[in-house]
Amino acid sequence: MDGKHGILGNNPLLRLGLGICPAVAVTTTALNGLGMGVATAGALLLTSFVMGLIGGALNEKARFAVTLILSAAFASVAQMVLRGWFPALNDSLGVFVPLIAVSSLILCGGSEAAGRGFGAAIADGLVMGIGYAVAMTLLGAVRELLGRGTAFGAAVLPAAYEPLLLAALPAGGLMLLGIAMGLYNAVFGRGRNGKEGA
Amino acid sequence: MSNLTRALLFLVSCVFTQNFVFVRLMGGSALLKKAGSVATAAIVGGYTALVMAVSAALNWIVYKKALVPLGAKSLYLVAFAAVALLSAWLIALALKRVSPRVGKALGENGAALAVNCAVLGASLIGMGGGIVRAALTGLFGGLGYLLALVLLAGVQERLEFSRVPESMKGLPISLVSAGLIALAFMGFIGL
Repeated sequence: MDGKHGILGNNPLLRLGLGICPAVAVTTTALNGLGMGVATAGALLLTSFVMGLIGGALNEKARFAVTLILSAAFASVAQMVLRGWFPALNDSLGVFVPLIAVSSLILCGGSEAAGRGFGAAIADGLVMGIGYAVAMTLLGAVRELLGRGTAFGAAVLPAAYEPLLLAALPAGGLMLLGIAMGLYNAVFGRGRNGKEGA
Repeated sequence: MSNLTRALLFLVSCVFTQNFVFVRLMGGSALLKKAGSVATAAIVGGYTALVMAVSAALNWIVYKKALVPLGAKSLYLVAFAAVALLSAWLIALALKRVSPRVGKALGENGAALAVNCAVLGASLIGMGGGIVRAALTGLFGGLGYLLALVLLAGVQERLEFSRVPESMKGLPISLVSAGLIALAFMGFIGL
């Protein structure tokens, strides 16, 4: 591992802005955030695994296409696993499970994994995936707490708490993610930010 | 209701009440693209709308006419991704031939960036009806994406001249302003 990405130091979601689509769409509860984060991390790890093996043999242009196809294949796997073993979670994540296929986290991570050696590719995929899952869970937990007054479905705030409906809506999700990124930058200092991706 | 009225209602629904970026949240890429000027945003948005329409229609054909008869439904994601990438690449190639200015705005890897949540999302959502509905979901959804991209570029142009705290500069402040636009889009619910 070369420390290029990290769980805290260079978080893929909060610093690089990778995988923003589902990060706002499904993080209405902590459990959804965790489920989506783990599913995406799993697909990323598998994609990095294969790209670490074969990536060196591909040129720059082919890498993106191969990563996309691999990512789509492993997103299908993630969907089957969720549908079979966690049907309730699968229903609440909805269309965003197949959309893992075009997560910029995997597309960037997989393309980068190519040609960096097998060990580095795996380590990077693992660290980025965990970092993403942690960030997703935290964002989900904050939105759930503000929007419903619960944590992982259990009531934690007194009944008198008036839920802040905005936190559960798309608008609130965008704002909270923006604020979370700002806080992250303030705490961990600024690095490269706003890298392109989907 | 005539077909035309239905199509118009569908247009309003896709562009405003079910906007791909601000309501469905399938266009995170729109938030990240440093669109630069509003004009560039319009070109990139128009290109994405085209890709969405073409790939949604092609994916409908691939799914209903090839994957379902062959009993290979579980391969749908791989097929959709391949079709989307191919149509993005071909459309970029065609547009570059027609106008060099468009080619410049799309950049070197325009096709790669075009395969995003919005494109695949349009294909997935469009699967529910007929092929016309699939193509229109892509096209109208793409127009919503175009609108979002232009709005965000406008906001970003203004942000250049405002004093933003150091840690909020760039992506964070873009996200917060996108949230405010999304709040405004909620006003369209009930149209």
